[in-house]
Amino acid sequence: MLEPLPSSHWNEKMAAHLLLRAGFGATPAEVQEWTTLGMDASVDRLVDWEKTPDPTPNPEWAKPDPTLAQRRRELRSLTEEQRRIKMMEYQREERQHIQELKNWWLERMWNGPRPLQEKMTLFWHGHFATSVEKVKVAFFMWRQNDLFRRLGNGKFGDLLLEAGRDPAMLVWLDGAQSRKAQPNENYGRELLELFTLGEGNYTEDDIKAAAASFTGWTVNRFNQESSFVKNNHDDGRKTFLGVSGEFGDQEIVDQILKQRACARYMAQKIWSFFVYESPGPSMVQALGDELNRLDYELRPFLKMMFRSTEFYSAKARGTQIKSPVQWLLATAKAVEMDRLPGRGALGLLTQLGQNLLEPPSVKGWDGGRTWISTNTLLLRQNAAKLFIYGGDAGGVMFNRDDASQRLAKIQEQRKAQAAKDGTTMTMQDDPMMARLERMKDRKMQMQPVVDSRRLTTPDTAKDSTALINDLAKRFYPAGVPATARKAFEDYLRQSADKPADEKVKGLVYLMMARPEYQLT
Amino acid sequence: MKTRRDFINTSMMGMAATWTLPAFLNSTIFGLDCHAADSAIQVATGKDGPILVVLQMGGGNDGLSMVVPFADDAYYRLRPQLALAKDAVLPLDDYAGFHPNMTGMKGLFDNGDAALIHGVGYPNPNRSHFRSMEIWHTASDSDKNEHYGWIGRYFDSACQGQPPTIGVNIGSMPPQAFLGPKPMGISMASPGRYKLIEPGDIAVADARDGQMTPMMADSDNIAGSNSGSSVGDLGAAPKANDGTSNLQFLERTAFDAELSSQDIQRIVAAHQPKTPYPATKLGEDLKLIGQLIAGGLPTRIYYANLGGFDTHANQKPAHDRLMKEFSDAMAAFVADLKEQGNFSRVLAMTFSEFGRRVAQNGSGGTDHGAAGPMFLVGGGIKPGIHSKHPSLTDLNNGDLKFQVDFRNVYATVLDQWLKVDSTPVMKRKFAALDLLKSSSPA
Repeated sequence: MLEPLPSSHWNEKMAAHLLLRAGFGATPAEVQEWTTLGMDASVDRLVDWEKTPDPTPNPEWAKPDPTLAQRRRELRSLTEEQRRIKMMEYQREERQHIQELKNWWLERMWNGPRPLQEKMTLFWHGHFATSVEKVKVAFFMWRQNDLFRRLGNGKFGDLLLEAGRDPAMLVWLDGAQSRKAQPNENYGRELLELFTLGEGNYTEDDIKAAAASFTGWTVNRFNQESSFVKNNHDDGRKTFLGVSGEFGDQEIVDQILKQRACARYMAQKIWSFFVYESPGPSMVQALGDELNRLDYELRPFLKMMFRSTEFYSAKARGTQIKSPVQWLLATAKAVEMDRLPGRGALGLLTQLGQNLLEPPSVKGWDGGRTWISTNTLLLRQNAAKLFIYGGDAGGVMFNRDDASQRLAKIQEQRKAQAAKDGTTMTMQDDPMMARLERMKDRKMQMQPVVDSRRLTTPDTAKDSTALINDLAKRFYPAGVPATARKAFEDYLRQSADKPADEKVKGLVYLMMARPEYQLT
Repeated sequence: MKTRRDFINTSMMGMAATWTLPAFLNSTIFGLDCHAADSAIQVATGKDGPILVVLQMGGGNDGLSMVVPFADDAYYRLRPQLALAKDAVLPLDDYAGFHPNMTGMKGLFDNGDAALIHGVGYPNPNRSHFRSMEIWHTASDSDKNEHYGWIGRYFDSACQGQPPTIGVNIGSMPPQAFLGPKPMGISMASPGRYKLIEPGDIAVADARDGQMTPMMADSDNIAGSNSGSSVGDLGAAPKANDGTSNLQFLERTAFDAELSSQDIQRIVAAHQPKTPYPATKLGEDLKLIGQLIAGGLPTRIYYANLGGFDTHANQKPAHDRLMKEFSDAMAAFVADLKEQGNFSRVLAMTFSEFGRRVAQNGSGGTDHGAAGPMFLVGGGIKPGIHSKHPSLTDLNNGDLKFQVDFRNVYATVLDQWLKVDSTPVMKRKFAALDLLKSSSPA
């Protein structure tokens, strides 16, 4: 539907823009490679991601736990005290897995061979926003993440149906507890308001009808699969969005997809995430019509979008505010980090407002300007400085206030438990508390993760214009705004007497600390 | 009279100029037509003008465990395990008393420094954290969606041309209440990191930044560990409908951050409280606000948040601790303000997005409810109790019926404390209540 970009307009900047938006950034060498590949082949390679081999193994625990039933039986034979200790052990293990899962995903996004697959997964995670805070089971969260990865470029209807039957979702929006006699409307409401139609395109009765139609789907806690319990399903007649029948979830999904509002809502959301926010009404109309015409097949829709002149227009390029994940990973690509900054990377994302797998609510992350406050902007600048110079990461890569709150909470739980058991538990008896005590006064010293000598050559560094151009290829691959370039030139003029390495580091920092660097 | 541009220029001179700042800031500022309007402003207002401190209790505070209706049999009947013993509560009158840990607040109350409004809420209460918080932040009817916050609308109508620190939120992201057509105010999680750190500079962390353990950053920052904070920390920033580009928005935020961090670093270094504060999160936050007030930051509204009130299970230890944290911190704050001589110009107002169910649940906790108490603390309040406690038996779906609409409280604060016409801010007329001394503020 939209005009494709003429191939004569394809160049390094366009390729970089595509890799930033349909992925998480690119090294200068990658930009070269994709420029040579050409636009059509680049878009195909990104969107038809199945054709690129991905050998990344899943976490070894990412499967139903075969020992679960046995574990439960064992628990029953224990004394209350033994059971409590065992439960704490399980919880610790689960927390460990969740942490591993977050890192596993972050690594995939950063260095995986299928950038768009991970970007789409991030999009769907924000769309069907589910938090491990309530779901609590790492395997369920991995499974949902994998669902987004498998069906992310397929038919939206397939994904929508599966998302409703997904164990994490069934726990998150209470579908697992929803029965014929007492249907829970949580999923039905969010399905219509946030996942498909948007406000104003359905009634309270439609929510009730949807909720009744989904009853019966629940999570089998033993085999950790979702299952349909016929006896819990309301098989009566419902009226939903103007049609009546003995509906189950498939019929509800089918009926939703027939609404033009759904196509418009989804097209608008995808466009806003990848191209620019708030497309005008006629654009939304056209995109919705196209998605509808394609029968909600995402693959051709994505290709159309990533080939369009509009995607490469000035309205789109360099105008989107980087999410914390985008900021971190584009930076890691730009400076060709050997590794992400330790486990602190996840702490930084949390500090910046994007705790992966723990979105703030079922609405997901609002994105755009909501990423930026005076506080988070200073944090981004300080994180850049830490990456380059190293230093105490406290207050940047993690929040000491939050930490102290959590510590107080744990102490309180332990004390309450000890009082209940009639024992006197000292901090030293508890391994976790003892560990906390030991760690208490230590600062978290971070080594630099940017090696400035690798970013340019000594010869290049001698010439201001050449140095700016060389580094800009990394930090502003889709183009340097004139205001920023002026600041870089001023800085180099003022720093003429500094040793070359210091000068380069300073320029790298300045490039990352600029307001323009927050855009992509 | 100084203009905005004079203000910017003089502030610039005072900044510690590092190699990053000149280049960074100059070009930032000169790109700032939207912000650097030549309007007259008040510079460093010092000891004049009223200040409002809003304290949010995120997660839904159990009002019945805070202000205990000890003379009501229904309370003991509906809360067999959770009820606080009659002889333990700190009585205010012959019906209700404070939680035993609220000795600090009791002192303020007895001294005429605090006022209590029972049963504050709104019609057709919503029991979702997000929605109810949104209603309190935007002051909308419960069946209407309003984007901007009531404080943001106040800034917009009464504070144009003021420096960014007109509103100071202690936290990472601005609360929705701050959101306005032209967003104003700053957000700061902690002063130690609220500045650009210099290369190799590790000595900047202040006390609150310096003492905690690093390992919490990773393996413990996970599921289930932050339940209160995830609803308490609701962040929301402006949508792009203020006519500025994202770059202009970023430049302005960078500028606001730089400017305010310079002011805040200077003030925090120069003004240590002469009275002690408890070493709790809220204690630290109120201490910081006390320092900023002492230093004359030209702020009209401070915003602080105490989270962790979503006590569905095993409520007692958590809620007991929160009551102590709240009460001790508030008493310390008042002592500090009195010592400073600023008590008469400060009004602190507490709220929570909802109270909790009257009957306890099966897990030793309480579920989401409706109306709850609000406190006003300051030199300008009319002390005492300002409404009737809601009935524990005449309920609305198991919840207390509200006695006072919170929007009447907001309107009173706007009209009589901040001295602006509340009608455009609240979008309609809400009658003022008799909560404040007529002569206030100083």
